[in-house]
Amino acid sequence: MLWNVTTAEYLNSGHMACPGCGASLSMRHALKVLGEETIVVLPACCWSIIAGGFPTTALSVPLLHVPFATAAACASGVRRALLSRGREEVTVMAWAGDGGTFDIGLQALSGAAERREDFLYVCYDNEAYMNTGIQQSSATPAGAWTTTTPAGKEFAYGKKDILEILRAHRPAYLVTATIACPEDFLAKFAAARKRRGFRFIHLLSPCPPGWKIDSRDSLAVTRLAVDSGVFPLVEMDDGGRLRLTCEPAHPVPVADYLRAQGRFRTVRDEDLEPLQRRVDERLESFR
Amino acid sequence: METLQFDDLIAPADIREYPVSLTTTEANLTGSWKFSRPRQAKKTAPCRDACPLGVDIADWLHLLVRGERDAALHRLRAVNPLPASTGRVCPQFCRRACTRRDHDAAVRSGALERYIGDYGLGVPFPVPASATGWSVAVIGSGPAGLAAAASLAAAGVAVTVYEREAAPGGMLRCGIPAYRLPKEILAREIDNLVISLGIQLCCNVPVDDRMLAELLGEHAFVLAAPGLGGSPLPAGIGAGPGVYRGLELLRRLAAGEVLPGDRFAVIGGGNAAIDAARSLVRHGRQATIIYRRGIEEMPAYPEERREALEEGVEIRLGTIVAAARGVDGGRVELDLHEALRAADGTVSTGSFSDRLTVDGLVAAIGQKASWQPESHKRLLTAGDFHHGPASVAEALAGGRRAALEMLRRRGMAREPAVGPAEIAANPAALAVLAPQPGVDPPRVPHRERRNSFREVCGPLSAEEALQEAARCLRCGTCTACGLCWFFCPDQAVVIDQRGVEPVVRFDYDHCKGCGLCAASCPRGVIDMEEDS
Amino acid sequence: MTSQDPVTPARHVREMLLGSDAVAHGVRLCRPAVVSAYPITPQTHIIETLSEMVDRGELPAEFIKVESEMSAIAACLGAVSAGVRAFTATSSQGLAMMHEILHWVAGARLPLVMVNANRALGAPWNIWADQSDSLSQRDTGWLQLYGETAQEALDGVIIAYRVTEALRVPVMVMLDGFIGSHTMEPLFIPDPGLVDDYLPPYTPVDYLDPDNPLTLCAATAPDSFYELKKGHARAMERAFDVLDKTFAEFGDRFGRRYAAVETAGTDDAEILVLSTGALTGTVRVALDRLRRQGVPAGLLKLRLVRPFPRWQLRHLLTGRRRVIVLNRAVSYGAGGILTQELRAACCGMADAPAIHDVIVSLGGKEVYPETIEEIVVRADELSPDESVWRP
Repeated sequence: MLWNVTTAEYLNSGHMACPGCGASLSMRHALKVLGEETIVVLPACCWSIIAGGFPTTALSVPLLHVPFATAAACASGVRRALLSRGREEVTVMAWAGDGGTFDIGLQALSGAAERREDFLYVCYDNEAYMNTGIQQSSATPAGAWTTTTPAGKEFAYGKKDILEILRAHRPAYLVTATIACPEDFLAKFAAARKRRGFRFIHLLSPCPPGWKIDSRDSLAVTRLAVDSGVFPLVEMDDGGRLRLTCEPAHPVPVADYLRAQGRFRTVRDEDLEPLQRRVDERLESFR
Repeated sequence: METLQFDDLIAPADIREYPVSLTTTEANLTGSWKFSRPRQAKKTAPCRDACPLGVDIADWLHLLVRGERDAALHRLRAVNPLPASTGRVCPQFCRRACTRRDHDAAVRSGALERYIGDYGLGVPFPVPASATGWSVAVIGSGPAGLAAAASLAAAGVAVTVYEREAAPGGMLRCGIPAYRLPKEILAREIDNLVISLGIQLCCNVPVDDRMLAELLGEHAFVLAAPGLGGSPLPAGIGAGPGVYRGLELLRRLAAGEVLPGDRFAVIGGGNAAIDAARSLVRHGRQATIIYRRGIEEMPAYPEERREALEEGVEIRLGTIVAAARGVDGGRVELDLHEALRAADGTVSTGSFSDRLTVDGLVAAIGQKASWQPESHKRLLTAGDFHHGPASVAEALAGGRRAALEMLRRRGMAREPAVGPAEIAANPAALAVLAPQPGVDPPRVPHRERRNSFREVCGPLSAEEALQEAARCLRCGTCTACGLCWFFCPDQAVVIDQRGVEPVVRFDYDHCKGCGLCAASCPRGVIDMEEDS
Repeated sequence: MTSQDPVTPARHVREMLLGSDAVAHGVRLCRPAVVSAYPITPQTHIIETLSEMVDRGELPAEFIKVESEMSAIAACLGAVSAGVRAFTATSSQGLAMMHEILHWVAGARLPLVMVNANRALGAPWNIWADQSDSLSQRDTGWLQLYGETAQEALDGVIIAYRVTEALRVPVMVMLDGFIGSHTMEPLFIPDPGLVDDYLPPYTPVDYLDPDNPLTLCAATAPDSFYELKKGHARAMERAFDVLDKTFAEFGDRFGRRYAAVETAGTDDAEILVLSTGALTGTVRVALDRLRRQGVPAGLLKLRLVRPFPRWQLRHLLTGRRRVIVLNRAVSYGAGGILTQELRAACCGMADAPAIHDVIVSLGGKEVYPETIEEIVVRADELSPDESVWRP
């Protein structure tokens, strides 16, 4: 099969994700790479709904729903329990949205990273509180409309640099990825599976209703995020530096990415240049 | 959540006293959410659509990839009987339309055509269908005439081809220099064609009005595809020593004639001008092309243009030769003027800019028909004679079209030459695939090219040809590549492996109609249609 | 502990230990696989001692030193969900911070035991004994056991694991901050083998296991949610019976007999004093003195607050004149929390005694035997409709 992806499915159809949801597709392929020996820990996020209502479940691997702020702490507990049960080979994956990672779950995340807990933390970042109806989070990028930033998020506040925060913890593995760039995504999950220690994958995950895009464009728009340098695909090297794993394949200006989405409608043309500069500088720092 | 109530869907045994979920969400028929649904449709590949001959390139390439080389050859030659030649000289409209073009590189269909054509030089055409009892005379053995002859002969029609020159090939032979199409290849390809299909070929037989009347008396149809005559000289330039017409120059050079002088000017921007200039360079002459418009507007194929520049041909753009005079020593003096461009794109002669003295002036501009036969309902026309100067592909297409028309009139309808009306195109979907640019066939370095009529472009090896053919996506045809399956967030794309070839199906019970399958299909075979 | 001296158990070690250490020994004997905690006064000695036990190999557990109480309980949530026995301890602000997760653990029906060293909640800052912390959590769905002595805390932990694993309702074991946690007491530390017989290794059901995948705590539609909560409420009702049997078996094996409501001098008492935790020791002294003065007063020691032993209390209250409830936590605007609980339990009782609401201490305010004596003696003057705050 394409890219050696297994035909085994661990995400059941009939799940509750919106049409064209990046988070459901990302979970599908993350689990295909990680395999059936995986336990998923899920705080409040879109996935709390996607996973299906009691007594159904969208996953055919064990799944634990946990309170909003506790993904990393609960995953720590699961991991330690597995250690004591002699099931070290099982991968524990905390799977949280940007709110549960950048905001309310940050403390537990920092704690687990500092303790070098042996699990994989995946943040599927759709850049706002989408499950509650599109409110801004600290992962919301500058200029983006949400229901609580009706005029667009102020340019004074960019998106919180979660990568730098994590990098400061020196995790065992630290990368960005997106299912819109599948080969890089699959390779990173495969690498994360093999590592031991605290691992963090930051996924950019398109949300058609929240980004105000057509569901069929959700992956193409996300690729623009990569090609424009807004969401660079990076990994932390042995020296603790973040490096690009893929140069943008077809470089485009930031404007192309923003103008492809309704949520950036309030961004004025004169705002584009400083944004472009910010993106260029950051991208360059990863080279 | 509304769809889930305690009592429906779930087996009582699955209900625990605790919040434990064991039942798959497949019980939720999320297909009811959708407003549109994917539908798979066979479409025509953009390359086939772009090909004047309508060659189903993906089809024969696929046979080649599957190891069925003879089948591939016959499939191709059933439409294009001269692949070894066209593989070398066809402008390849197909490559410009190729879905891969901007992703990595268009599939090298020309090089592949040449590969299979060269293989086919030693492979006879399939035995023709049983004789129909009627016959056709074809005037002209250029691509149009030969294409018609091949189609007719294969269908069991007795064909006689009349050629006024000493050897067949028309423009392929006398209009295209050997460094692009070696004479030997052309000769072998035509020999194979006429011999294995039993076509009568009569060279050195020009056809005039009187003979045409006789032919119409003897045959069910006559096809006139004699090509065009010589080109007129541009205004302000009279015939005289040192003034040549493009085709005449090529013919004389090909015949081994040594023309006096070192420095030549060529007027024109088409392939004929480039061919003349490059041929002169190969004879050790200096050649300057003078063209009235910009470089991108030259009708010559870009690759030819590039190679000409590599070989040292000079091109003066935006320049008009307003007058030419014979001067002492058989030389020609040219008045060069600026070309003035009007807002509507037309060009007129501007002010004087320069004077140039050359040993020879070549006028490589449009040809004109030199024969005007009386029309007759059983006289059909094809090729340049029919539509004016055009590419070899268009000439082949015209010949084939004429042959099919004859067969149709005799009640022998043939398969349509085109695929489904919808054209498959979704190059954006390729972004997820790693570029796979393939290898260009070898080329003779330009330093070596300048003194030789050796073929510039080399062949693909068998291995390279297979790799290159495998790059063809087969646009418009589902290959069950798996991209739609991969990108479906709802597992609503099912690849059914039970048959000989895997088949893609949609699970409409769970498909939410997001359209990612359609967006992710580089072959463009998935459409979203309204869900009723 | 009932008022009579403990029957000498078959095997034990007798040691003079801090209350906190008593808890740590109780935990060690129960062999949790995962311990997770965050330090807060006055719980700190518990986790310090546990850390040392883990360090020395006496307790072969994973000790997760988390960055907050919320994570402490969350790590336990994860561990128990993955099929092992776990433990945490906290106090006061820490317990309040756990609030959301307490609900989750209970709603998930996870067997978990935690110890809370009762302490006041700010503001203003105060680190002393007070039951505001645990009684604010009485609606989280946990079983709540209060202890008078360090021995009760130690034994309470062992009993709690039996109960929680039988019922799948988490259990909170309380001891008083400082008075309970930081004072020394001679203790019976049971022999590990004896505890192992009483509390066999944990056999999880419906846990996170890749060999038998399932999902825990999925979003639930109203009807299903109601059914699950009904199940939880019914489990709480079964708790009385389970607890009685567990106490009884504990008594048989270890020689120390406990009950959900313990009594002293109640046979002929007209006045009952209801007390919880370490305060009960002071009440005992006061009641002894009153008895000698001829006042017919008896003790109700409430060990179980959730589920609230209402039928047992109604039975004990039948025919009494008055009950004085000593509260160490207030629901502002509604009086002492235990008083409300008792009044609700007695609602509709034909011959219910007068129930007096006394806010006897908050934030560690000292209670002397004389304080109790005075309240009991002057009980006739007290209005049953008003909360009594000490002058």
